[in-house]
Amino acid sequence: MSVYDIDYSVLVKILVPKQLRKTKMLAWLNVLVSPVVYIYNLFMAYRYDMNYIIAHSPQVCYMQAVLNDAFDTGLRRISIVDGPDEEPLYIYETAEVKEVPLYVTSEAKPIALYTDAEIVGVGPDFEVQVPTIVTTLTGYNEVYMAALLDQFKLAGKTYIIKHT
Amino acid sequence: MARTIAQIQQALLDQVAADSTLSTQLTSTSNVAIWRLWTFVVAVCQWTLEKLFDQLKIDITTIVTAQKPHTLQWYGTIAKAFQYGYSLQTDMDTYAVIDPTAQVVTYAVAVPVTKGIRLKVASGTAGSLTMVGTPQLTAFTAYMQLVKDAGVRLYITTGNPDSLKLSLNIYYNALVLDSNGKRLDGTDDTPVQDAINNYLANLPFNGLYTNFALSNAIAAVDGVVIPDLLYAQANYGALPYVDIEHEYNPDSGYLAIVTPSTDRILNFIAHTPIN
Repeated sequence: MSVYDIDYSVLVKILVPKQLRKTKMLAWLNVLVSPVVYIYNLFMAYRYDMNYIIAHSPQVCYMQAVLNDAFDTGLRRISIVDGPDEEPLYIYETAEVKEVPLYVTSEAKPIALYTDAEIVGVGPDFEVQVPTIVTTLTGYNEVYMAALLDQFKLAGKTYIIKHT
Repeated sequence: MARTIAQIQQALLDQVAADSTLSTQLTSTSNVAIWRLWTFVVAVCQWTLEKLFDQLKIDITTIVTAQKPHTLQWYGTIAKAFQYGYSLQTDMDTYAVIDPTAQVVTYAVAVPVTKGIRLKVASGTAGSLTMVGTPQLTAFTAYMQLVKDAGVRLYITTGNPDSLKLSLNIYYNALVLDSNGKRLDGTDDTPVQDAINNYLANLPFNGLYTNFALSNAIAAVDGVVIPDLLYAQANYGALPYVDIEHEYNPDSGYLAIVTPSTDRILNFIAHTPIN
């Protein structure tokens, strides 16, 4: 119950003198204020949406909250982690004299060649990890999820939705 | 701005008066005339709406002004709000209970680096800063991963103070100090050393050390005529010491003279007062 909650049928009844509170009279007055009730309901829906939007920021904890509110209300299993941050391996021409050593197996110094998507600055900035079980829930909609992410994320940050 | 009930009702009555048909029919001036009652009921309901719109405007303005843009300073502030051993409230970036004794990260500064933000942190109080302990740092990292903006890379570092080496010729007034830098009146045996330590302790976290400010701090000591800085060097980690030409930004965020006996060389030379 907040200052915003108003029951217009009760309010109308209170405003009418007691001896005039007849069914016909109250029904008539309720009809008269029905446009007010209509705009009131729209207003309350708007207020709820706005409060939700301004209470949520691009911070990880709030973005997780938004996604879980939308797609996994009960168990809240959707999480956000940093994207890949591997450094790319550069190889050079002979004239540049910058050798890149390769080791034999016994030396146990593997050098990884990463794909574009795994390299920092090339791949996404953060990953949304959605358990596969969540993707089977009714109401799961990745297009809507992307729209939510776009609405709340920091401008310029890229992401990928991953099923885990 | 909401109108009053009377204003709204008057607007309705004016509409009635302006209407050529209604103005001839609804002529009762009684305040309890049934059609006046109806305008009153409608006016009150309309008034509630106008009040609610105003209230929402106030509410939203309050929340929006309390929100901060996520600047580098904001990262420093939120880092210092970390409480070791406490769980964040579900889906929020705040704690249910504020416990200043659990706030182990007392100093934090965010600096931009390639691909992200570097967060330099330290524990302790001014003058006795230490690095953040390993378990605390692990918990702090997990905390920052939750409260940072999604997609922003954080590189959290904490370390021992950058080591500072100083060598100075102190030309002193022989009427006030002796050849060891002690005051002749016996009130203070280490005024120059204290001035140096105070200067380092009062540097802001990640603040810029400057030779100029250090000299000024020493010159302010009673009995010091000329502080002549021969060299100032600093290092961090296992790197070699580098000469400080005029300024130095400590990598760990703070500076200290680790072994005063060898790192702080002061030669006291008597000099006549120059003014």
